[in-house]
Amino acid sequence: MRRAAVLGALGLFSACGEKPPSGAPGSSPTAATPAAAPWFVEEAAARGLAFEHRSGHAGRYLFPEVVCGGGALFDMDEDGDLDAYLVQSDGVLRARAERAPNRLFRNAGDGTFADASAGSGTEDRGYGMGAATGDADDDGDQELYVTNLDGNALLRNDGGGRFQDVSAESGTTVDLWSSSAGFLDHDLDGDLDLYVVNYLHWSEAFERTCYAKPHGETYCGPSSYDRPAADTLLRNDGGLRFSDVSREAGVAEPVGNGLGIAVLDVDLDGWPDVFVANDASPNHLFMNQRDGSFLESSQAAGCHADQDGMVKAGMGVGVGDVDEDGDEDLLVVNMQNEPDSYFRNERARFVDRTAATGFKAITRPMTRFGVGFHDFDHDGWLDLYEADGNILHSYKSFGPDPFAEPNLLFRGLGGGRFEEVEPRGGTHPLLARTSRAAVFGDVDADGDVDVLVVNKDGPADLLVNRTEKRGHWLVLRVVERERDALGATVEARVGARTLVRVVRGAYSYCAANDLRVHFGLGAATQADEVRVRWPGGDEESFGALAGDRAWTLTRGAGAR
Amino acid sequence: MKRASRWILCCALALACAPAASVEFPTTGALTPELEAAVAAARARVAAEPEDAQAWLVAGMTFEGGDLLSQAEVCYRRALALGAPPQAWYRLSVMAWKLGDLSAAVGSIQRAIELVPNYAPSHWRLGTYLFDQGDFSAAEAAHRRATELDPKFVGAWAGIALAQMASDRSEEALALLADLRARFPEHGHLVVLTRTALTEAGRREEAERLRVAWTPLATGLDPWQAELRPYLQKSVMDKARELLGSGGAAEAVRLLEGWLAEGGGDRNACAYLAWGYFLLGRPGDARATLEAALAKDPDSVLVLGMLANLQEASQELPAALATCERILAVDPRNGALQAQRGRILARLKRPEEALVALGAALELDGRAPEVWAEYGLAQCALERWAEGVPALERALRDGAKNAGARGTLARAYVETGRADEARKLLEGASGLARDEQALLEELRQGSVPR
Repeated sequence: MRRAAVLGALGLFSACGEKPPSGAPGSSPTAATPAAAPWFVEEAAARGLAFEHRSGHAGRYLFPEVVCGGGALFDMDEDGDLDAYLVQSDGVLRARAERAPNRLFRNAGDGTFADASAGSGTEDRGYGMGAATGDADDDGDQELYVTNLDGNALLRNDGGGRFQDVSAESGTTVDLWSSSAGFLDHDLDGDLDLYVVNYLHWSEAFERTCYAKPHGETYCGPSSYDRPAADTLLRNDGGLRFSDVSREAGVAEPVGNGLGIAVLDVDLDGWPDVFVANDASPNHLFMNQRDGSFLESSQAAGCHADQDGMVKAGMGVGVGDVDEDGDEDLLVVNMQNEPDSYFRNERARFVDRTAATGFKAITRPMTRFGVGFHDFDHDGWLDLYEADGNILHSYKSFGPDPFAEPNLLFRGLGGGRFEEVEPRGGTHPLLARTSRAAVFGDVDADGDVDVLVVNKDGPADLLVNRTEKRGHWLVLRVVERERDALGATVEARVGARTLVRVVRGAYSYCAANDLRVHFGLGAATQADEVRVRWPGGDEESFGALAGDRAWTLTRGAGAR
Repeated sequence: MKRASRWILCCALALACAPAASVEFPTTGALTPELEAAVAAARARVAAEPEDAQAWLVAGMTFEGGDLLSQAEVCYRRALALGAPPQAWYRLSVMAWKLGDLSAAVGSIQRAIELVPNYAPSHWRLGTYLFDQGDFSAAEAAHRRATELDPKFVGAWAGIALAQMASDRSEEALALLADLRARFPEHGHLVVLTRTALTEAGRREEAERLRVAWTPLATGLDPWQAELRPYLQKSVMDKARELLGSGGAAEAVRLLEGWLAEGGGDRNACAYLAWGYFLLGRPGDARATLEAALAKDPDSVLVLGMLANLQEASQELPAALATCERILAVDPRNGALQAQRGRILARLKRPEEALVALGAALELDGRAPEVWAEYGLAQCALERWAEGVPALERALRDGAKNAGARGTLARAYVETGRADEARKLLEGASGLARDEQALLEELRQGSVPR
């Protein structure tokens, strides 16, 4: 009957000299593939993660207010679960002491949290942007590095959830507006160095007012200031002392409005390279020269701009071996009217193949920040999550917040193709906020990847993965010299396929993510062989590993 | 036909052929005064003639011009329901595309093509949407149809090249782009695409030889799109900035004066107004405007920066220098002001200090070739020829326009024992200045100066 009615209506349109094309008045847009149930359930408050971000906006539009909101998921106390750190901002012009501090939340092991900030030493009160984590003093626990508008902070982990601010004595107070940051061993000397992405040389004295349709007075974009900054590379000299080696390492001269970072081995030479997403200025790709220095190579490699040559507003960076050819590809997310840029890695160069992915049209109306490729449904294909929130005004209104937008979730179909998951953003009801960082990790230790979303001027969302799983899984902690082996590449052979993951915390936007690697195995119940390529290039096989459990792979000591 | 189906058919008939049901005029939040006025006029016209398709089409373009796309979409749909012309389908497709609904965009543009099959921009739009959908062969076919209808529609030619690249057919794209560059040399964007295609083809060295800046692609003749132009809203500041840069200082001043008189604008507007006065030969008004703004906000870098510009342009170099230093006291990481300070110090014959200031500017931001030129000239003014050479080489490589850079580099080559390079530089140049010509003659005669 339904079919007959449709046909009848078609006949009618013909009778009136019209045919009903898709998109005709009154027709509804084609829906994305419906999911049986939302993939995520928002449970921040229910799980004790009560954090409300405040930009401190109070009438005058101050640029730092519009891009802040970051956080970390890391195991602060070596008890095997992910604790949460949320970075507060709260008033660009306010004195530090008057600002609300950052918050640390301890995971009870089951994905419920308790505020552990008091006395922890993590209550930094800089105008906060983001965080990075890594074992900088090589004692087995992870330090916290907080990026701020007004001086960054290195918080040494003294164990048991206690931290100490060692910024000044460690030489890590970068006195610039920093955004994302990442620990890496850039010179392969065995300790973790620190790459800090800086945004622009902002000062209140230089602040200006911008006007944009349709609403008038609003935030300016970085081009209005035209004061891009160079990044900072801090070399670990041991004993938790760092030297600023930006100039000799070749990162001090190229300037850009840096927001996102991904450390990856582009050419698989065993040395970490650094990709930086720049806002309204060409992206940077710092190729490791294997002597402690980098060569900025983005234009030669084809990832400075999109295929059309257009420089877009690069915000966050997603990274993963989307095409399963053994190297990692990049996804740079941009602002409204600028679709994502998917740069497929061809080892010596990148090719922009965004249109082939399925992201291009759907991402166009949103302004995206946090981003991550993970196999949320365990079907063996990488999916994609993007956290959105405008900086001007949204094309569609989602309530009183003019910047609010829904986030986006895509399901990987294989072959580098994706489709949007409905309900939009993977939640019901729809969450539409001004999202910034998306931090990824398995907070409830159930073997799948959850998402902590930091929202500007709003409560943080903890999106607990409730996807109807399509397969088995494997979670691996990869350890070298009693610490997470940042930069190690893990290859899992599953049937005829080889899945690649890299031990990495720094990607997305202003985020420090779970350092464990996660595989969806699809129908396979095990990985037939797991191999680790350690930083520097040595390889080690850990044999077959059974699925649906977490393993720790220790260099030279097998899997347990 | 079963009874239920007949009933549905009747309902559908009634819906399709009866007058369209009334639609509420879309609402918005607070708008800029200009847009508010335009929307009010569109609303009034729709209220007066609610069944007039053209009134709804104009309302749609008013919203679209103000970046209110959801509202525009509502109006275009209403206009079409009331029998609007085919370009309403075209506009509706653009809205759907911008709002991320590709299938609706494709459907709408296909409807526009059905109604007006030979309108090339519709086929180009269809190609663009199909490309975004990842259907590269269909995209290429649509773009080809556009080029058949209008062989000068460069946007569609570029679309074909992009579809070929996306299909990993870079060499084909390169052949096409070579042909297009020969036919349309004025379109710099084709060079940008060529560079991308060379990179994708792994021809890195050839790509690197193409040093190009991104330029937007002028797509081709598109009268339907041109209909939107009067509705595109620009802020007073944007209009004023454009006017000041295009010889329209009087109009810019009129706009800014009116805006400030109505209580709009801020120190930004004051700074631009002062510049407008200066361009109109009214330095007294310029100064008065800046002083009034500084009385309210003594540390405004925007206003002080404009004051420094006016002082420098008026040859009041010590005063300009003092203003620069006042700015740098509150905004020490202002690279542009450091560069300006260095330039002024050089003009005041204080090269040591100039060098320090220019070096600080380059530390902050080394992109500007003119600052490298100033820096190299300052080095050479202190007879630090060896240090001057790389700075001047870089300045010229990156397109510095400084009149003294080339001649000074040639001189620096000579002073560092590289007379052959000096000769090569000058012989390869056109429009030599008198001192450059003299140096070249000396080099040719072998009487190389010390």
